[in-house]
Amino acid sequence: MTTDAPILRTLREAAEGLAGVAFLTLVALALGGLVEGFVIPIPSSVLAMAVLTLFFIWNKGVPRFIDTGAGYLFRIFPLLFIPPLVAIVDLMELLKQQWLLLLLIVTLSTFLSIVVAALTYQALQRHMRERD
Amino acid sequence: MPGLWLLLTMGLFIIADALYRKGGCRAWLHPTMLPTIVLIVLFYLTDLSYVGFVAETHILYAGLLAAVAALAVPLFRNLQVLRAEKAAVIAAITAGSVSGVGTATGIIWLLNGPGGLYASVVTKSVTTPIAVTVADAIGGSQALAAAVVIVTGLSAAICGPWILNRLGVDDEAQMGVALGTAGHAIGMAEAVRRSELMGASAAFAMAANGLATAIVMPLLWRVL
Repeated sequence: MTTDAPILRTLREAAEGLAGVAFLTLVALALGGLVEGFVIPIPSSVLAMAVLTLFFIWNKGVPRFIDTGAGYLFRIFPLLFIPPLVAIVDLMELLKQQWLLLLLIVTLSTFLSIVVAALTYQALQRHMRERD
Repeated sequence: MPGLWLLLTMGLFIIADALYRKGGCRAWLHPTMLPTIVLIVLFYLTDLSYVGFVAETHILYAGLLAAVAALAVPLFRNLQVLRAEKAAVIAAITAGSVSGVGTATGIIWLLNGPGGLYASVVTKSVTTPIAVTVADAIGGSQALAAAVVIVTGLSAAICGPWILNRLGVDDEAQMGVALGTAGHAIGMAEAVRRSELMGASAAFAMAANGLATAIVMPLLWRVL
């Protein structure tokens, strides 16, 4: 019994995690149907995130199986982005025409956006702390 | 062989992730880079079916939807921190968003770029489904908008943490807001890997920036 306990615990955690992943997928897909049906201009996954946050506030906590499932998904987050990134292969002809201009636009504006957002937050946080 | 593309993608990711960890988590070894480059080169140089790849990796798309929905967990856990600094958070998202769009359009104007480009780059920092919808609504190219969004996210995820470190920004909430505002879901995925608070801040910034862009941009475009 004592030697089985860690294995059983691992199996229970894996089952919980898979149930959590299945639940999160179902919520996102169900809301996807709603988004399509009512032509809501918000991605279903973002809507699901908002709905689940409200549910957790109402529930005053996160059910354990959702927590475990979320942990599983976060560990493989970069893997999930590979197909959308590879989709760029479909746009190669378009990109070849203006790649330099696009690269300049994207990198400069992205880096500036990161710097401005972080420094604005930092300055206001400092101001608020000094005021308090 | 059915499932080959999925296996290849996962195999490449496992190798890339191991290299990233062994290499001290250096930006240029980001685990999305190696699989993406290998697969793009493979499709570009050969006649292999991209349609087959899309069909076989569809399960990862469902996983992506679930993972973004799962961001409700860190968002809920860190709601107190974000609420306590809501003025700073909202100001940072607004400033980051406006400066990003302003710089992108400014460069096109300065370099006398094609007029049709404006509507395809102003959605660069929002997640792809919102970007293509908004770009279409304001007369841009959906395909170009999608490509710009992807490259934006990748550049934010790869270079963002390095830039912030160089600037001396080490506060997790500040880093998360910056990565989520500029790099949408791809920047957010990088933030989640680093810490729960950073992931929660990035998730909120991504959602807020995306929603604001979806509502404001079509209205602004009509006025301009």
